[in-house]
Amino acid sequence: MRSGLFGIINIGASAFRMVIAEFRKNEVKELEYLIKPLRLGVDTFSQGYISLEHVKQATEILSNFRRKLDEYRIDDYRALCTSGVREARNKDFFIDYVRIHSGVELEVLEPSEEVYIKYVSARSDVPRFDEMEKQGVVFANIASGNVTLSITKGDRVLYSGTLPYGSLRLRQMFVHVPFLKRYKAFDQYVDNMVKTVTATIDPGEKVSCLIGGGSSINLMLRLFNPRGDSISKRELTEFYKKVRVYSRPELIDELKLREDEAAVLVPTLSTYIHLLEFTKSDRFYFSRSDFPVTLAEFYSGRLKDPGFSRRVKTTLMGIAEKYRSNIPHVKKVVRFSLALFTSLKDIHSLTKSDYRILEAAAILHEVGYFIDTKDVAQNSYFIIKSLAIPGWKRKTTQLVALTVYQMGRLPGDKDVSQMDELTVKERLLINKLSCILKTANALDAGKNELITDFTVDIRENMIIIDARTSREPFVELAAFENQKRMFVETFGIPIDIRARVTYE
Amino acid sequence: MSKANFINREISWLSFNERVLTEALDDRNPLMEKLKFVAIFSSNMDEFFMVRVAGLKDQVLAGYGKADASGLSPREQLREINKIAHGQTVLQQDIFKKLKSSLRRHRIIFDPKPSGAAADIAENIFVDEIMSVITPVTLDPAHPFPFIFNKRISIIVQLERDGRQWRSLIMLPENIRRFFKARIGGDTVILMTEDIIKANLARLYKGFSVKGSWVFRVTRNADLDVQEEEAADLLRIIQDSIYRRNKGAVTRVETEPDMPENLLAFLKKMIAFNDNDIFTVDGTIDLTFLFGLTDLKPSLQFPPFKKFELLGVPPDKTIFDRIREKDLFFYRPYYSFSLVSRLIAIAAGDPNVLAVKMTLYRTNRDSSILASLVRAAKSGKQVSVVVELKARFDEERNIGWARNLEEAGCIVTYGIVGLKIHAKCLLIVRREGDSITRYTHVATGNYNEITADVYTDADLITADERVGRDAAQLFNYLMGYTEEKVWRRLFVAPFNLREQLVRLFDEEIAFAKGGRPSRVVMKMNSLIDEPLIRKMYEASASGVKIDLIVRGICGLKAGVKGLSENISVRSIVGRFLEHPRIFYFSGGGSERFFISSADMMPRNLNWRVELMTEITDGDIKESLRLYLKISLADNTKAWILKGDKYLKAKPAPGEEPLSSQEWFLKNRLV
Repeated sequence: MRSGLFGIINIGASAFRMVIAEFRKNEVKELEYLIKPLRLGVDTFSQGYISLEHVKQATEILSNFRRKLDEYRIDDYRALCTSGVREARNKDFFIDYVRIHSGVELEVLEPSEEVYIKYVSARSDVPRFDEMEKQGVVFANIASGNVTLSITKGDRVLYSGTLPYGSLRLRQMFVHVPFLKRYKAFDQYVDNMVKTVTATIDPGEKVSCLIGGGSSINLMLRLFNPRGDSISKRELTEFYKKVRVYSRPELIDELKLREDEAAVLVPTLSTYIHLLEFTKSDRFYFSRSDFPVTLAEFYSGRLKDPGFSRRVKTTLMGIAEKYRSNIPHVKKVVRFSLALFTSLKDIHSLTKSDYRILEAAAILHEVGYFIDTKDVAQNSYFIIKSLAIPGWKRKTTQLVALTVYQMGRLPGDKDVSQMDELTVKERLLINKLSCILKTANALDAGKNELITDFTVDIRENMIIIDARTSREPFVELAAFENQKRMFVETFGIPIDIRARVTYE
Repeated sequence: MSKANFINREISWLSFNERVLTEALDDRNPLMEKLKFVAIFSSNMDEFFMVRVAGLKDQVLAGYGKADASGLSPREQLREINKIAHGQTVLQQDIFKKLKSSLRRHRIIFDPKPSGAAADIAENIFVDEIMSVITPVTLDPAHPFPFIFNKRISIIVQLERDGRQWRSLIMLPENIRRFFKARIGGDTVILMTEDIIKANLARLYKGFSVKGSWVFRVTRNADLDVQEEEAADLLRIIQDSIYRRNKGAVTRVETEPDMPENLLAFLKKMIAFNDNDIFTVDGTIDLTFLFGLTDLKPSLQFPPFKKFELLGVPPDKTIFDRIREKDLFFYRPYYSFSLVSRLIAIAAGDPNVLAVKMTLYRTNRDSSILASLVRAAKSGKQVSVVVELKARFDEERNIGWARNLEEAGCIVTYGIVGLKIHAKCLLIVRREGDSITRYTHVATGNYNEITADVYTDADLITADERVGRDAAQLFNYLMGYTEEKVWRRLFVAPFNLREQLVRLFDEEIAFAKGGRPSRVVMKMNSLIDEPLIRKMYEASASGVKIDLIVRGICGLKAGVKGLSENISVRSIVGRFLEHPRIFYFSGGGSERFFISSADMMPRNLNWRVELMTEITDGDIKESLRLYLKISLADNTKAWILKGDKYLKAKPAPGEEPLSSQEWFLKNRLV
């Protein structure tokens, strides 16, 4: 956990925000909070790139933010861009220009990480979140660029994704529609989003709570001034009916909104109302967490998610089920992989996070069968790469996918993995993990759960797997034989197996 | 609400200026100080004609005829102003005549028609000092009538040569001295420059016969953009009409009483003014020169006073420990403002201080504060200064500071377009161990070490983190770093200050209606904001007792049955210029005190960045309670508003005379 001063800059689609916070033991003191509207999203969502004029304006804002960092003599900061930059085709130019002219090093926040951080923040901020999650929760973070949805029930993530339905994006999309009718376009588009998400969830799964978050919430709170921690659907709908035909100047004058707020109000309301209809709830709860503050807490290690590993595991198992994996076999491979990882720790020198990658790869190692029995490794690789697991970085997903691919790849298979783009260290990691996974998979190659347990005997010149089996495991032994060469080439020591049939 | 329920802004201001003038009649004031009050009156009046009368004339010119809150159209206001100002001009000269008699007793003599030794000296002065710098223009087709500059003493001379009449003009240059002092015997003789010239005209017009000469002075619509801020309320009204500020237009012409009609008619034609603009001055035109006389006899000035120092405030960087323990609070000029200068100097030399930020509205030449800021910047601290360049008459000086600060490495910004920065705020960011502490100074008066001796004000220095956070945000906003406008402890105009005041009044109204104690005491310079005055009337009608101490303009009518019977208004005019804004609200028993940079005027609440800070320290609240109590008890320097008329307060039978300013000079408040 960090202590001292920490700075977070968030470059959003409609505004730049900055937090300077002081961390001490369990105390967090927000020293500064800055917000500067700049609608980069207007460029990105309408023309696909950020105009040079906006690049320069952004640089000016960030130069001022840099001054704030200098004022406190802060070197420890993160400057994170979301969709407004992430989706711009010239994002590399933008990042480079800003770095050269302001000295601020920008990073792009991955969508899955964004969803996850917002979700974790809402968990810690919204009272009774756990209770609501048992009944199923839609956590919707409506920002200018995207809507991030996390639909969870119990320990399972039913859906998680960042969808291109942000309020500013919608506004840009339908800017040509006369404002008196524009709300109809928003309604249609948001309805489509809800249908798209609903289609990915088992119709039997019911979710009944809606929790809102994101930059839209401050606006909602100011407009509705709710006494408790929720806003009713009735209030929301009545207000929406009133303001949906207002022009932007009318919204600014009558509701005393900033220009950037006026631009996104109507699409935001439309989104909330549609999500309420999806959950069939009569009110939505909200998280007051502010994203930059949340980011500061997250990256300083203050924002904790004790159920993270369990939730990821449950979610991955759900995915394995969805892709009709052989679940008893999967469980056996997971157990054997992790046991091997632990037993071989003096040899592989891997870390705890590598352990989690191995576990994930073991759970997902045969999802490719869902598509075809041919090219399973390749199929698995693409399925896993397409996943957005909350809390996983893209790199994590890539490592899991590559581990599975490398494990299942047959001699002569076309290499789709782009392994060459990895660092030497990453390639070595993939080799080690896939080798362990392949060994574990060999121990249940027949998917009959014949081998019930094993111990690992590490000798000076040889590793011996001493497996206890209920019957003689011919398929497993044959499979083991096939992976022995890979093992010695990876770890430099031969491995063998001794299977002993146990009797009762 | 009837328009008769409001006092016109201009009339109220004229009434204030008359109170200032009347101080010259108060025998508790030493003679030289009386001269100063006469001079202040003149200076105020000049500005009033240059800005306010000019603004009203602009309205008339633009065809704007709508009545103000008091029911007067611009034309009617000009008529009223004219009537009052004429009366005040006569009063001022009467007072000046009396003062000249008093001065004579102290052997200071005004001699408008020098003779004997005085004439000899005057002639020498004319030859040595004046003749070479004046340029008479004798009018003929080759020498047309020149432009008569604003506020410039001028003389029109009637000449004759060969039976032909000539007219000549002498406009005194800007940099010429207005008077000279001659020591004759034991007397100090004051010779006015225009009188010296008049006595020596024959030297100027050789070959002519001087038939007569008359002094006059033209006041014009101010041609400085920055002055428009003072008339912004007038100008904003007509900005949509086809309108061009009539800069340079004549707003007043002061003349000597015996100027012949034909000459006056000639001037009217050549300078373009009408009869309403003419002010006949039976005496000396433009008495602002009296400022330069007041140090002639120090024994006839207010005696110097020793300022209090706050107790237990260390002179070194342990001052920060002291501030963390308890807020510091003091009153200028009774307490030394040097504490603030010292704090900034300590911060500049403290390696733990990371940043210093401040607003600079008006500061003094050779300011030690600026020197400290430069030192801080040179030692690697981040120093940010938000300079207000629209401080009237100070813009040139402010630009000079700004350049010096920038050269030293300070970040200098010039605020927000359309919002004048009137808030007085200083923020010191200090690293203490592994955490940051912010020290904030907020005040009702400027960072000006000179005016701190003359203006009364209040200063708070606090380490309250919420105040520090808001102050940091204020600077971020003013420097263009943020648009965030959510405030936790400070109330900031034009964002939430007005709303907070209305909320506070609404609470008092609710307390009064609920039978709970309710009272408001507000001390300010001006009260002209119509919505707030209406709110005060509403509070009065609900039974809230309101005591207002309003130095200057007050648009509210006090003690009027059925309107404001629960409202008292008093104005204190004395040795020091009353300047703090201090507000008290009973809070239904949970009393609340605030200090502010804002007056209750639309310009302050709508178009300026102003601060209002709540005082939370119990001891400081007690001190403010005492301050307001003594101010309300003043019965020698206070004026009580009855309806729309001010009456001088007098001690009740058996009551001791009490001057609040004198009391504060002798008694510690903190």
